[in-house]
Amino acid sequence: MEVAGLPHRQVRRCVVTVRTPRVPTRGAGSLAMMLVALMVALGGCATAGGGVPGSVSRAVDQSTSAVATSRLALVLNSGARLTRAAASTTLSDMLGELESARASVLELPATVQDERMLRHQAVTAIDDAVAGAVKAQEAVASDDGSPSIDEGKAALDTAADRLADLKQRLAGSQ
Amino acid sequence: MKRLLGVALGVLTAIGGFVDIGDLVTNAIVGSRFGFSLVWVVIVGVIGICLFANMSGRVAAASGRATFEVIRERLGPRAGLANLGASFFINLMTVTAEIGGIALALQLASSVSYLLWIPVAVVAVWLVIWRVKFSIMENVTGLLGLSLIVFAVALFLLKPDWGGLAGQALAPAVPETETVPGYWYYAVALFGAAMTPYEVFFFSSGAVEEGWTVKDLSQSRNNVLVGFPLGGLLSVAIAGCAAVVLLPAGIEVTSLSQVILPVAEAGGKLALAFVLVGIVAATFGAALETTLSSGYTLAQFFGWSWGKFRRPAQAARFHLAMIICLLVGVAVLSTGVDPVLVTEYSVVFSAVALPLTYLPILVVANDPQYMGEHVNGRAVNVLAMI
Amino acid sequence: MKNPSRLQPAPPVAGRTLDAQLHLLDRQALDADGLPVTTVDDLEMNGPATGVPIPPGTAPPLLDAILTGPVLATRIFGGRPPASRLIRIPWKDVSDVGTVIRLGVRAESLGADWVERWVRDKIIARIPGGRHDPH
Repeated sequence: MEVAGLPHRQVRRCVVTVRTPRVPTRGAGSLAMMLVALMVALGGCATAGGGVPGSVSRAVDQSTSAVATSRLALVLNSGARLTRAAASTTLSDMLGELESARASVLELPATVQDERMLRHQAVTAIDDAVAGAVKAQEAVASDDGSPSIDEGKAALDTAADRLADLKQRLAGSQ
Repeated sequence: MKRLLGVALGVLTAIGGFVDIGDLVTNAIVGSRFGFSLVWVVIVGVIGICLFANMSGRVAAASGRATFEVIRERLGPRAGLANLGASFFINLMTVTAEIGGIALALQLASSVSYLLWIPVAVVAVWLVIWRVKFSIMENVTGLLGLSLIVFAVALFLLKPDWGGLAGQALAPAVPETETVPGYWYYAVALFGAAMTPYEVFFFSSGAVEEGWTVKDLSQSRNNVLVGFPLGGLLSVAIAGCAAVVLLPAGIEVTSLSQVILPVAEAGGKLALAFVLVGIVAATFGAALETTLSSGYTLAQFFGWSWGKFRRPAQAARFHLAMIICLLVGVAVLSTGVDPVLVTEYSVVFSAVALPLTYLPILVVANDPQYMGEHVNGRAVNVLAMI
Repeated sequence: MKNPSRLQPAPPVAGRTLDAQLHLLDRQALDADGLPVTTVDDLEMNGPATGVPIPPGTAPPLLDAILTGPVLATRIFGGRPPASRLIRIPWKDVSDVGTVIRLGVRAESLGADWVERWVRDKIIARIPGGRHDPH
C-alpha cells in the first residue's frame, strides 16, 4: 500500500494490520464490580438489622455521641480552649444529629405494645438531649451569663443518664 | 544551600499536600470508633501511594507525557474510557467533598453557615486555577497545610497511654462495640482515603507542567519517599487524637467539628487556630488538585491542549471542563447534602475503583517503549500488585 | 477473506513501515507549534469496498485523513458515521510520525480544531484574564 504524499515527497509504506490489542485491564472491571458488591454487603451488615430494638439502639448511640460532644464543646468553651464560633458550630451540628436520630425513631413501626413503649422512651430521652443541647447553645452564646455553663452541663448530664439507662435496658432485654 | 531549600520545599509540600478532607474525616471516624486498630491500613496505603506516585512521575519524566495520555495509547480507547469514566466520577465527588470541607472549616472559624461559604470557596479555587502559577500554588498550599502538624503536637500534649496505643496498632482487633463487617468496611474506606486516584494523575501531569526531566526523578522520588510517609504519620495522629479523646467519651465522629475538639482540648485556642488554618489550606489545596486532575484526565484522553503553564486562551476546553466540574460541585452541595457524607462516599468509591484506576498505570510503567531504561524494577511490580 | 498465511509477503520497500493500530491510532497530534490538537480517533482510508472481491490491478487503499470527534464513539461501540459528518485532518498535513504525530500546519488553520477555537472565543476569552499568561 502506499500513502499519499507528505510535504517532503517521501513515500512511506503503511501496513495496516488488524491486531486485537492486549487488554490487561479487562480483569480490572470485574474486580471493581466484586469490590462494589463487597462494600455494599459490608456497609449493609454494619448498619442494618436488629429490628425495632436494633434501630432504637443505634439512634440511642447516635444521641449519646451527640450529647457527649456537646458537653465536651461546652466544657472546652467555658475553659477558654474553644472559640465561641467553633463551639456554637459544634452544638448546631449536634442538634442536627439529634434531630435525625429523633426522626429515625419516629419512622419506626410500632405495632406491638413493647415497641410502642420503646419508641416513646427513646423519643423522650432524645427530647431531653435536645433540650440540653439547646441550653448549652444558649450558654455559649449568652453575653450576660444566663443560662450559666453549669446549667447547660447539668441539662446535658441528665440527658446522658437517661440515654444510658435506656441503652442498658435495651442491652439487657436482648 | 539553595538545593537544600529546594529539597526541603519538596518534602514539606508533600507532607502538607498529603492530607485532604477524606483523610481528615475517615481517620477521625476510625480513631473515634476503632482506636488504633486500623493503623496498619494507613501504612499499607502510604506504601501504595508512594509506589504509584513514583511510577507515574517516572512515566512523565521518561516519556515527557502525562500518565493518562499514555494510558489511552497503550491500552486503547475502550479501557481508557472505562478508566476515564471511573476516575472522572470519583474526582467529581472528591471535588465536591473538598469544597464542602473548605466551607465547613470556614464555618468553624466564623460561625457563618457553611452554605454561604461554598460560593466563596468555589470562586477562590477557580481564581487560583485560572491565574496562579502551578509552582506557587503547590508551594503555598503545601506549606500552609503543614500547620496540620498541630494534630501530632496535640497527641503528645494529651499524654496518651503510648503502650496501649501501640498494642492496639500492632495487634489489631475489632473493638467490642463494633462489628467485624464494620471493621473491614472502614479498613477499605481508610485505604481509599490514603490512595486517592487523583493524586497519581495530578502528580504526573504536574511533572509535565513543571517540565521534569530524568534528572529531577531522583529528587521527586526522595520527596515522595520522605513526604508521603510523614503525611501518613499525620493521618495516624489525627486518628490518635480522636482515639484518645473521643473514643472514651463514646463520641462517634460525624461532623468536622468533632475532629477538632481533641486539638482544642490539648492546646486551646492557639492550637485551634493552627488546625483551622491547616484544614482550610489542606482542603483548598486538595480541591485545586482534584479539579485540575479532572481537567487533566479529560484533556489527556481527548487530546485537548492542557496545562496551567499555558494561558487559558490556549487551553480553552481544559479550563471550560474544570469550570463545569466546579459548578457541578456547587450544585450538589447546594442541595444541602451533608459534606461529610459526600466525603465518606467519595472515599469508599475511590477504594472500590482502585483496580480500575491504578492497574493501567502499572501496565504503562512496565512498558519499555515509553520508559526506556526506567522500566519498573521487579520488586516494585510485586509490591504494586498488592 | 483469504487466510493471511496464504497471502504473498509484501514486497520490500524503502521508507518506514507503520502499524496503524500501534503507531497511529490513539496517538496525540501536535501542531507545528507543539500545541496539542487532538488524539487520533480513527483513520479514513479510501479504496475497494469490503466484502467484494477485488479485481486484479486495483490501486491499493490510500490513507486519506486522520479522523477525530464523534468517530471515537463509533470506534468503541461500532458502526460508522456518514462521510459528511467526519471531522478530518488530511494526511498531507502530517509532517512526522513518532511518539506523537506532528502536523506541519498550525492548529488555527485546521477545521478539526474548531471546537477549541469556539470555546476559546466565545467563553474563555470573555472571562477576564483569559488571554493572559498565569502569574
